[in-house]
Amino acid sequence: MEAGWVAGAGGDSVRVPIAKDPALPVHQLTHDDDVPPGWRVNPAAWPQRLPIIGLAVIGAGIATYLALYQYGVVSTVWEPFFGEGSRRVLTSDLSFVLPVSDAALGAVSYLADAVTGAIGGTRRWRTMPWIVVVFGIAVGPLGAISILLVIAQPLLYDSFCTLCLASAVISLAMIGPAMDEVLAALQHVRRVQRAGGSAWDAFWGRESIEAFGAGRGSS
Amino acid sequence: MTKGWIPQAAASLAGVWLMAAPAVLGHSGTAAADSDRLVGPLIAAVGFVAASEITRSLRWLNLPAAVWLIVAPWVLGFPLAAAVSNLMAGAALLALTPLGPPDPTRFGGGWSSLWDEQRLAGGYGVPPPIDEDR
Repeated sequence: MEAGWVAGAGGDSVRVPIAKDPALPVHQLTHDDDVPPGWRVNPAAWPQRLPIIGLAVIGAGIATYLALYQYGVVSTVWEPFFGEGSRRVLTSDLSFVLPVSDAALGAVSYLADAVTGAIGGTRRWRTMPWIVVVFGIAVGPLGAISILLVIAQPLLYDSFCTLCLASAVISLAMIGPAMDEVLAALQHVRRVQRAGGSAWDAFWGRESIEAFGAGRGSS
Repeated sequence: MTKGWIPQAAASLAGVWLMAAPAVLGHSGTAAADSDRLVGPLIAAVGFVAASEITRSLRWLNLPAAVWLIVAPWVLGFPLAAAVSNLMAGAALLALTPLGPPDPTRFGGGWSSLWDEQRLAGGYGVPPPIDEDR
């Protein structure tokens, strides 16, 4: 693994291609090149991403069920712990403060998480950083909004809603596992920039190879 | 695998306790209940997300919450049980929050590598500290 490092301070004067660099021609890439430099696992590998996608699908299912109740398609809602809590929360003014109910928005957000989590191969942290960043943006705010709704439930309506809490836990559980991939993608963009390449092109996956080649493409 | 997630998961449970406290201790309708139900979910969420090593640094958000838990009973005049609950949860958070710092050598230099090039692994430049485990 350490074969890839170029020793020496500063680094700006040392410009040699190194063994484990994603900049090397495609035919020299091996399976290990999927792992970002300095990482132990590839955060874009399917064992890392499938659990997040699974959580998003479960979340979408819960949110869809709650939305169906809010729009009267389902007449009762499952609530094992808080009595009238789910009914009071789900039919509250806050739930309908937007043109679409909060659960319907949640269902759409979860679907966006699942789709952006699934797009791209296991090297997408460097072949398409933009989708990884979109994925992170889709996962992060969903979790934040879930917390706000959990806070609002008891403060405004003096009740909790079991499935709403479950949905909040799911959206929070996705954040950590999603952020590692975001970090790897952003590090890739910075690495290309440091090597003299264009961060903009790297973000759109256009300079993943060229910017790293010794001297080549450093415009 | 490191055990660094355990302190943050425990901090998260303190937040869950605060969410339940007004009903369990019977101080619903007081300022203490509003305080518990406001900071409880925040603490629970921060601890839960900070249990992931990649987002471990978010744990520091629980420090101001801990300070609030310790100050609020005196400022707002909580019932005794609620005050004790708040003080114990606050003390627990103060103790738990700093535990389990993330290991940046696992993540190519960590988040700080995004603004500190010297920490950024790979490509050209200075390698990060040697990873002893590998």
